[in-house]
Amino acid sequence: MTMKHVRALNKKARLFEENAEQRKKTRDEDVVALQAPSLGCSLIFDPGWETDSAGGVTGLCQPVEADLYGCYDDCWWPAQVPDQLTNHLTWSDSCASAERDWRKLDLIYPEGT
Amino acid sequence: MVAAPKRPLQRCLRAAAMAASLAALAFAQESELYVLGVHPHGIVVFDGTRNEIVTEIQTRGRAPKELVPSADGKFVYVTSDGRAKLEVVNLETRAVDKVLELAPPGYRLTIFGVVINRNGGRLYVHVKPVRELIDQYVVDPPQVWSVDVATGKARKIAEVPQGVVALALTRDERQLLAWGRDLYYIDLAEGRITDTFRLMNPANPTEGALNTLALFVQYERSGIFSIPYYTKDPITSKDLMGLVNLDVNTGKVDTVELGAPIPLYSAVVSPDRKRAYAVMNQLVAIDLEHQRILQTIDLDRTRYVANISRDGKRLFISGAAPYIHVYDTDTLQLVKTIELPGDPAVTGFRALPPGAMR
Amino acid sequence: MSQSPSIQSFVPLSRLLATPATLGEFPTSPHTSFAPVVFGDLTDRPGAELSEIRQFRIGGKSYVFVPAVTAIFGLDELGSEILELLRPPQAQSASATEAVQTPATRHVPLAEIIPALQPRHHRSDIVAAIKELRGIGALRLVGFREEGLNSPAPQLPPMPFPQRTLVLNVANDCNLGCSYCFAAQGDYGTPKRMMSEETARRSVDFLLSNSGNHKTVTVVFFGGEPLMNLKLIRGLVDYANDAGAKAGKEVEFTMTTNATYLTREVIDFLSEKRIGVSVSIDGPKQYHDLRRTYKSGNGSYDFIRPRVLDLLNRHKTRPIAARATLTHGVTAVQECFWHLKEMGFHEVGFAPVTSAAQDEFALTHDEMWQVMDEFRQLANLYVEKAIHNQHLGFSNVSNILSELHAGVVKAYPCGAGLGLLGVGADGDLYLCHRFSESREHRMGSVREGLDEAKQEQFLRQAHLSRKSGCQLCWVRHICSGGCHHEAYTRHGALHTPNAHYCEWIRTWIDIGLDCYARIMDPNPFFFEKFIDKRGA
Repeated sequence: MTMKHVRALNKKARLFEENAEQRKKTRDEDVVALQAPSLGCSLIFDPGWETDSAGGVTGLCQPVEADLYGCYDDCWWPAQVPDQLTNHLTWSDSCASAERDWRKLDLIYPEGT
Repeated sequence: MVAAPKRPLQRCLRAAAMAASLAALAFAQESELYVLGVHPHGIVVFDGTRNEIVTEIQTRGRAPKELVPSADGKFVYVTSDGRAKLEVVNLETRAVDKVLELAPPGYRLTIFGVVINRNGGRLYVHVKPVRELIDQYVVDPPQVWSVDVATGKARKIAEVPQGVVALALTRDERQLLAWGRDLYYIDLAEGRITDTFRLMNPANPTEGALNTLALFVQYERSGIFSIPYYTKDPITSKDLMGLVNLDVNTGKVDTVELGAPIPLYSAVVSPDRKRAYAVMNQLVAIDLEHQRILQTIDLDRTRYVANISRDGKRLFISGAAPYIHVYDTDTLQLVKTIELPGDPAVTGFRALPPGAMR
Repeated sequence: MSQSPSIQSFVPLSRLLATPATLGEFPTSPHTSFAPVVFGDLTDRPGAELSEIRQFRIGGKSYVFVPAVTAIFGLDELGSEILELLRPPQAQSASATEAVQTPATRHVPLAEIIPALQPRHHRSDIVAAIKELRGIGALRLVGFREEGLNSPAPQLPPMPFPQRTLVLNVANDCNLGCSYCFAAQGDYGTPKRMMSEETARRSVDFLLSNSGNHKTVTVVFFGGEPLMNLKLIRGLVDYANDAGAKAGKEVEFTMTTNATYLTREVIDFLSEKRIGVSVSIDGPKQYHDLRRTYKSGNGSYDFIRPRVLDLLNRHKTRPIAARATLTHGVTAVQECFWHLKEMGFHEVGFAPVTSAAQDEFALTHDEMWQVMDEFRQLANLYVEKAIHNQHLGFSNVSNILSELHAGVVKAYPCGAGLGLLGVGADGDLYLCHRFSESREHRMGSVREGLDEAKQEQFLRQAHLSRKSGCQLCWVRHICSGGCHHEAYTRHGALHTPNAHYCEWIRTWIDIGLDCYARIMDPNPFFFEKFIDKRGA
C-alpha cells in the first residue's frame, strides 16, 4: 500500500491504488532509462521526442511532413493525428506524399459537428 | 571504326570479338533491382542500374512496411495494414497472390520482423498478439512463429522479450536472430533462446548500455546487418555512438565505436565489408577497417534507409520523403534524384536477388 | 484534453478508465545533461479546491465517496481535516438527498492549508496527504493545468454486445388477476397463447450463438404464469442443456412464479433441474390478498402457502427468493420480511410497485418515505449480522452493496436492450420482459435476429449522458436514471429519468454507502463470502 492517509475500500478504489503503484514504478524506471542519450527514435517503442538532444529541432526529422507516415503509422509520434489504429484507418489514403499532397489529407470532425 | 578485314580468318576473329563484347555488354547491363514500399499501398520496384522505376505493384493492405524478397527472386513478402497482414507479392505477375492471415480468431497481431528461409517454403515472423475482448485488450507475450508458406499455418517457436523489431536467419538456418533491446539467438531445433548478445542490458556495469533500433533491414549486399548505437560512457559520462555489426551468416557480432554522436537511423555495409554508409539528416561514410568516420555531408531532408550497388560504387538512399537519391560512394556526390509516387515511410529498401523479374 | 466537468459518461466496468492527474507529470527532459525535473514540494502551487465528492462520518471514522468513478475510500484524521478545510463555511456536509454534494467550492491557498494543520501534523505528512487526496480525485490543485478525473466522451458499448440473459414469455396468460400486474393480468393486452416449443428452441439457439465469450448464459422462464406451460419448460431445459454443452457453455435457469402450480411433481422437477425460483408473494395473508387475487377477486394466499412451504422444504439445489411488491396499504416492510423469512425463504426482496401516479394501488409520497424508514431499520440489522459474518437475506441491501463494492459506473440503469432481452410468446425480441408484446419496443426476433439498428438507436438515446437532469447528481453512475419501464409507466417516456424517485434513491444509496463502510472496516471478508458471488 503506497497511501498512508487514504485507504481504498471498494474494488474501484483499489484500482486507484494499483494504478498509483504502477505509475510510481514506471516513473522510477523511466529515470533510469533516460541515462542513455536519446537521439532520433533510438529508444525502442518510445513515442518520439519533441526536441532533439540539444534542445532544438534540427536533429529531428526534416521536413516534419516527410516524417508523418513514418511516425504515425507505427504509433511513434505523440502528434495530434487521427487515430489510425481503430477508428480512422483511411484518413490519409488520398495523400500519397505528405510533403506534396498535404492538401488531400482528410479532416476528421467529432460526431455531431 | 573497324578497319576492313584483310583475310577471312581475321574477319571471323573480328566477328567473334564483336560477339564477345556484345555479350559482355549485355551482362554488364543486367539490372540490379530493389524494392521499397510507398504510401498509401504500393511496392515500387526500382532499377538501380538505369536509375528508374520499373513498376509499382498495389498491395491489398495500406502502409506497406517490411519487405522480404524470396531467395529465388520470385516473391516479396510484405507486411501491411498496421503490420497485421502478411502479403505474398508475385513479382512475375506483378500482383498480390494471397494474404496470409496469421491472427487466430479474436486476436490482432502486429508483426515486427519477417525472414524467409532459402528454399522459400518457411517464413519466420515475430508477432505481438493482442486479444480483443469485449471490453478490454489482453496483451500476450511477444513471440516468434514459424509459418508454412504453402498452407499459411503458423506454429509458435518461442516467446521473446518485449522490444524485438527484426529477425535474421543464419546461413545454416539453425539459428534465428531476434534483434530487440538485446540480440537473442533462438535455436530453432530446441525452440528457445539459447544465447543473448547484450546491448541495452550489459552484464558488466562498467559497460554502457547500447541503444539500438534495428528497424531497417538492408544487409543483402554484405551479409552484415549494421545498426547505429548510442550510449553514454559510464565512466566519462560522454555521449558516444558506434555501429553494431551483426554478421547474419554466422551470427557473430562486432561493435565499432565512432565517437561523438550524430543522429542516424540506419547503415548499409559495402559488399567488400570495408565501408559503411549511414543516414538520417546527414550521410556519413564510415571506414570499418580503421573504425573511423571518413566523411559527413548534410542532406537536404531526412532519410531512413540505404542500400548499395553490387559493385559498391553507388549508394541509394530513401525513406520519409518521396525520393530515391543516388550517390557516388567515393565522392558522396549526388548523382541522381528519382521521384516516387508516394512517401516511403518506415519501410525496407531491399535488393532483389539476381534473376528477379527477368 | 480538458473536458467540461459536467458531462460524465460511459466508463467500461472492468478496467479503471478515469486516470486522475498525477503529481508533477511534466515529461522528464530527454536532455542527458539535465537531471529529471523533480516535483517534491507543493508550496509553489497556488491552492487547492474540492472536487465532486461525498464525505461522510461513521462513529469516529471518516470516508469519502468519489461519484465520478464510484470509488470509496477511508480517510485518516488528517485527510478528513484537509477536506473539511476546503469546504466553504456555509456549506457544511450536504444532505444525501441533495443531488449536488459540492455546490460551492472555494480555493484555499496551500500557504494557508499547511499552517492551519501544522500544529497537529508534520509538514511532510500534510503534503503527502494532499498528494494522495489529489491522486484519488478528491481535490484539485488550482493554478496548475489540471484535468481532474477524465471522463471519456459518451460512446456506445462495443458491438455486437454479447447476450447473457433471455427472459422467455413462455405463457402469455395467467390464472391470477393481481391488480397491479404490469402484464395486464398475464397477457400484456394481447391474445392469450402459449409459446411453442419451436420458438423456445430458437430462443435458446439465439442466446447461445449471440453470447460471445460468456461461459454461462441464463434463461428465465416468465409470463404470465410460466408454469402454465410446464410441458414446454420440461422439454426446453433438456434441449438447452444439450445445446449448451455442444456450444461449450453452461445454461442456468430461473423462474418467476405465482406459486399456484407448485405440485410436488413440479417442485421435484425444479429441484432436479436446478431451476432457481423467485416466488411472487407480498407478505402475510392480510397484505398478500389485498392485491394478489384470482380474477374473481379472491385472495391466493391460502392456496399458495402450503405449496410455498413444500417448495422451500424440498427444493434445495438453488436459492429460493421471495419477491414482494409494495403497494398502497402494503408498506409494512419489516412485518412482511419476517413473515417471509419465517416461511423459509433464503432471500426476500421488496420492490415498490411500478405505477402511473393515479393508479389505485400506487404508493403515496408519505408511504414511500415510510417504506424508506423500514428499509433503513432492516439495513441496520443487516449490518449487525454482516459484521458477524451472517447474511440477513434482505436483497435490497445485498444489491446496493454489490454495486458499491464493484464500483460500477453505469451508462444504463440495467442490461435491457444490451445483454438482456425479453422474448415474446411468438419469438419476438423486446427490450426486456416488461416490454413483452409491445410493438413499439420490438427489437427483432429470435428467428430473424436482433434488429441492430433499433438497438443502436435505443442505446444512443438511453445513454446516461443524454439525461440532462442527471448530470450533476452524485448517484448518477449507480442509478443511471432508473428503470426504463418505470419511466415509461410513470412519465410516458422511455428515456426520461425517474424524477419522482430521485430523493428516495439518493437516500437509499446513501444508506447503502453507510452500510458498506460499516461492514467493510470490521469485516471485509463478508463481501468475499456473500457479495462477490452475486455478480454485479
